[in-house]
Amino acid sequence: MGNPAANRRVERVRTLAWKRRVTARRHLRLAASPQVVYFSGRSAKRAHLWWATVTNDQSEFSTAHPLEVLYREHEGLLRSIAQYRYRIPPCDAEALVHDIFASFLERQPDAYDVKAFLIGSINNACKHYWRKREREEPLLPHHELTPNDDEAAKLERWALRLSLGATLARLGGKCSETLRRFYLRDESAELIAQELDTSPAYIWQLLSSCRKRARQIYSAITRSGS
Amino acid sequence: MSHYTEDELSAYALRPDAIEDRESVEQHVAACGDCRDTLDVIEAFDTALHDPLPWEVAESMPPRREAPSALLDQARAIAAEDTYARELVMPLVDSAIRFREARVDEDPRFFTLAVIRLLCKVANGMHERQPQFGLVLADAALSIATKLPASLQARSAWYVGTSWKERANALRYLGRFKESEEALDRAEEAFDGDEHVEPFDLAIVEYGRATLYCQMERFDDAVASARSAAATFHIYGDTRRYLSALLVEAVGYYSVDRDREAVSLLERVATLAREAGETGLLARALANAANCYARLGEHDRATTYYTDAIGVIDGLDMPTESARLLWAMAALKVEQGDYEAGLTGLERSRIELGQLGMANDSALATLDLVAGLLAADQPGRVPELCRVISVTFSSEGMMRSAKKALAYLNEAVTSGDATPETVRHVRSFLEHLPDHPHEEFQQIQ
Repeated sequence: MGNPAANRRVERVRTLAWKRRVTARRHLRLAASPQVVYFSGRSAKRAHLWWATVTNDQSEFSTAHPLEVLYREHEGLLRSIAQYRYRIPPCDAEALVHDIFASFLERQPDAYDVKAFLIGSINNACKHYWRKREREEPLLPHHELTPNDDEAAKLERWALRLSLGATLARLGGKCSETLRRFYLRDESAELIAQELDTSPAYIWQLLSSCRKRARQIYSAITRSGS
Repeated sequence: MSHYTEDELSAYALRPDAIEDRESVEQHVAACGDCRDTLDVIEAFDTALHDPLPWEVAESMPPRREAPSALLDQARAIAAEDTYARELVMPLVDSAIRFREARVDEDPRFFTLAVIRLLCKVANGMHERQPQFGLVLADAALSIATKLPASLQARSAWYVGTSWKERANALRYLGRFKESEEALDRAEEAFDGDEHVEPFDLAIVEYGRATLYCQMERFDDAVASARSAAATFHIYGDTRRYLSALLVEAVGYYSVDRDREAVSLLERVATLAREAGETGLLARALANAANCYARLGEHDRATTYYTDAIGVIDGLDMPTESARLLWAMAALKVEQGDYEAGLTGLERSRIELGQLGMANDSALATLDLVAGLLAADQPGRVPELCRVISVTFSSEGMMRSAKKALAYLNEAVTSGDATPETVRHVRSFLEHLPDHPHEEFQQIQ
């Protein structure tokens, strides 16, 4: 009926308008319409599950994470990862950590867990460091794993050992020394007491309170985002 | 049962022989999960103290270091640049017209890295509401990146990558999938060209690809990209993105009828999301798992998951999602043969969806009701409901093929030949029409 070309144009405008309205509604809901099994059947190839469209990936660094706090909390751990997990010389490890913070400042990523993000970042920087020096010293196999759950678990174990190192560094001298002698050197409480000219009961008491203090520090260090 | 304190358990772990009621402690710990867990943590900590590495680390580590002045200076400089960029950009971005008129990519005051970063940030938050404006912002950032002074050009790879990524996001929202994919390729190329390549940035690009491939119905590619992105997000401790990527992977499986793989992944996501307190993702995982179980014919499990999902969604105050879940649950009841509850639920759902302004969904729910009534041998209201559906689709700007499908349905209803399968066929066509607007309606042979 009427002008076919004009009718086609009208139909096209309607098609676009309808499609736009439906698409806009979907985006606002962040979900496609639910799968109603009774009617769609298995032939429907289109996905009707919901997924989260996480596109928000930037944040205000300066207000959310003051550099001073971040640096004080995490610098030691990051440097330890570079030095002990990746055997990077101390001065280079320091430079890598500096670069990590500089990059974090500049890119302002929306990190879900800042500490975990920084650890991921230093691991990557360390691998890159060794790749660039491949001729001098090849990367060890455990450094070159591709990302998977296994590597994530290994990294976590390393991070926990290094966090324990940071804990011990924060303990007072007497606590640290007593724990070292008892646990690392396997000295008995009696022997430690004898050398310190005190009673074994006091050493047991000291061990008890120092372990508690160490657990508290460790817990504060490993708490997400701290 | 009263529990032992941490101090008491710690004392036991240190010197079990010195504990007077050692036997009671051991009996209690054997029976009490909470105390066993506490003791495990204490013992693991004590064991870790035997490891030489933490002691070595402790020796080399001064207690805490303050940020060096060079970094603090850089932080201050960035903050100042950001402030200046905000002063320049923010007055322009509350209106797309004003922004276009300002021609920021021709004004050298805007040629800074901070402006690019800010434009990308604003674009990032704009895509969902105004994707066309999001695209303009991303393109302005890209244009500025080509005009930066030489000293900044050398540091601009990450900024270029981010601008391409935002362009890709905008294009995806606009349904320009091919161009979006090309923009993601450019983003990846730019990130790869940076001196400090961060896998996290590449994973965000990969996640973008995964969602794009889902929309392009390239589900195998979507699964591969989502899985790769998830692995990296996991390493960076980004639980939200990790779970989101797993959700997309599950969508990929579901879409190629790998329902078992989908549901097992979704159950994992639900567990992790619950632990992490990510209720939005939890709701999605539960609803998706319910859909999978429904399709697998495991109706009891599907009902349990729908109920759980509705509980979580209600807590999030998302009435539209809640309405859609109730709709799905009512349809499931009809599927199970519980016509009384199912038809009542569908009637309620179609009204509720309409009241929420979800006209298209309301019409689809009405079609579900029509098919349910036919299946229950209660065809009395069917002609009236079909008229309602025609009116709804007409007011939505129905296209020619939709008219044809509804005419076919009306004819079948009038002649008394309509069956649940007829309605299902029409419904399936109408539901998928927005994504396949050129598809012609075919009658059931």
